Amino acid sequence: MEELIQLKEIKKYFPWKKQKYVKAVDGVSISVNKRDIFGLVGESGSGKTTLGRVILRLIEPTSGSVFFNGREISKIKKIDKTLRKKMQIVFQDPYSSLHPRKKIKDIIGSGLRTHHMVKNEVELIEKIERFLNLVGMGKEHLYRYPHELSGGQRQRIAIARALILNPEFVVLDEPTSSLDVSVQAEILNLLKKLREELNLTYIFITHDLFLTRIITEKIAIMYLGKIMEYGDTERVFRNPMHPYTRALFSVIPRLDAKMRSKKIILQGEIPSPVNPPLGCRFHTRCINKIGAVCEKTSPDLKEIEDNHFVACHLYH
Amino acid sequence: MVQELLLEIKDLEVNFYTYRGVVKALNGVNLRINKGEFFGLVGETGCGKSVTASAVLNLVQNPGKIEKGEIIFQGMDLLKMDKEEIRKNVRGKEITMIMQYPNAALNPVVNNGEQILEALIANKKISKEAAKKRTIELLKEVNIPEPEKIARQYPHQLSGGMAQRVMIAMMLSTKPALLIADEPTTALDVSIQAQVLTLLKDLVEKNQTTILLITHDLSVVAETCDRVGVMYAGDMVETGKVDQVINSAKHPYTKGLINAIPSERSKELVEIRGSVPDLVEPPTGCRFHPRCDYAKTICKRRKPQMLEIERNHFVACFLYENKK
Repeated sequence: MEELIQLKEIKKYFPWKKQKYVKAVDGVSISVNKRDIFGLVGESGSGKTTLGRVILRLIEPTSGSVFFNGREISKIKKIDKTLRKKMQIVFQDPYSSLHPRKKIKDIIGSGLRTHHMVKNEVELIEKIERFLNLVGMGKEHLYRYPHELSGGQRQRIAIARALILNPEFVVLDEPTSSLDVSVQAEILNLLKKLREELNLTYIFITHDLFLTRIITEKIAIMYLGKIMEYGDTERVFRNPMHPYTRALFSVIPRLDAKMRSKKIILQGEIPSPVNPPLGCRFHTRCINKIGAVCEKTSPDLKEIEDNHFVACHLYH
Repeated sequence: MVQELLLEIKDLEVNFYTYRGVVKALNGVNLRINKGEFFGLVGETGCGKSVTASAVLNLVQNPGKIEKGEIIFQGMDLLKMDKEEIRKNVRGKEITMIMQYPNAALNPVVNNGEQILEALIANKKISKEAAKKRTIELLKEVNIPEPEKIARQYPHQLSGGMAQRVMIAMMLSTKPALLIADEPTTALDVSIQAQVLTLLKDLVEKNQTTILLITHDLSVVAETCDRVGVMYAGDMVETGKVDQVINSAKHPYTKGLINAIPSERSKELVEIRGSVPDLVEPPTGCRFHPRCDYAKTICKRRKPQMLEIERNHFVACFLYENKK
């Protein structure tokens, strides 16, 4: 399996007030293989969205390295256009991510013009129509405005816009969270199909664990800027090891009563990323806390079974 | 055990008169909620679930208009009641409501305790001292740690989950007969959602409060509610006990919705073809027919009525017309 992206000890601290920092991402190392759909799961303040932006260098990391196709892109002064084309993003909110005063044709096509990927207007329209069809829409949408489309349709436009530049890799930041369940199904099936047809690699950011089983091959669960558990999606689902992962699994509402188990209701709130707990980030809410070691030392990610890593003193 | 009817909505029709045309938001909705029940009203965008809740409280705003129907609460038709009467004795007292963004409903310049205090004093003949004591009790009942401290704080200092619990405390202060919760946990993280839903369920059991939960998440309804009503494009399409509707769903839309929900066991999501209709020009007859694999000619011509398909399980679909 060839690696497309590698992150080594990525940290992103946002300065806040006097000499304090919001430690949004606090030491994350992962690798994403070509043609994989890699899931990044977490709740508010986990750092998943920040991490997605850092990979694309939409935000600069405070420290650590990002490698793309073996090349360290985190140290390059200015990202060149060629590199930008290869990495794209689809945002969560289809209502604010499309320019309300631009026609669909221009929203999708402006990237093509910027990168000189078409020779003339005819070629431009042809290419845009092709991608509209690819995402299940038609040329009748070319001259419409975003407000004339539904949420699901807008998200399709956002996907077309990202893919028309022929990227290798797309960050999907909660692409279906704002959409109805039945629309979500359509968009996810579309994304899977496009991954096959266009040989894409995805980082799929979500808070919805069950979604990841349907669409991802690998998954990383984040909490307060660090990865708690990471590995093959199937393995993590069959054998969740981290107390946080287990708690999350237990509280997700399920349609099927037979699949429900005793809920581990986490007490208290998610701590502030300005003052994350010392030692293991999760110890203040952990029902399996061992003792002083959890309060003082931050556990490293350790491979507990094949392709399945956990950061927890219970397993050290 | 005989179930006592608390709220009955009959043939409710609501239109919104917009510049684009008349949005036929509610197309004759029927709903019955029993005392002490935890009822889930579920549906996707535009189905009319929030409008139904607003109608109960007579809060349908211009350009919306309640065209016809009855809303019978504790034996009286709320739609025929004097608006002052509803404001004084019903809304905020017998029927209260919590919504998706608690911070939008809490006054940002009044501390949390004061807001609950205000609700108590406005609705009961109670001294300020007694009200202060009751406020702290209420905050404890909703599992807020350090209630005296939280009472002195302001809404912006509360996280989403805490703010929602303060809202619940406020909305329960008058010991209402019915609490309407409109997407109360949609904006909250899963681990916090679990806390708030467990709290609501406990409150139903302890205080015999009846709760109408409005949500787009059928899984949440499955876990917390006793009975459920499924809405689609302004119509109630199926109602029944939760295990009836989820384990033996009868309406094609309900089945479609269930198949589209990601679960531990599903390896793929099945789509419902087509999309939600424009309610300015809704489909004729059964509003779901353009997306239904079982649509017949009659489905385009007439609106199906709710039929009792098994005890307490109702469905509005011509597939079941002859199977009474």
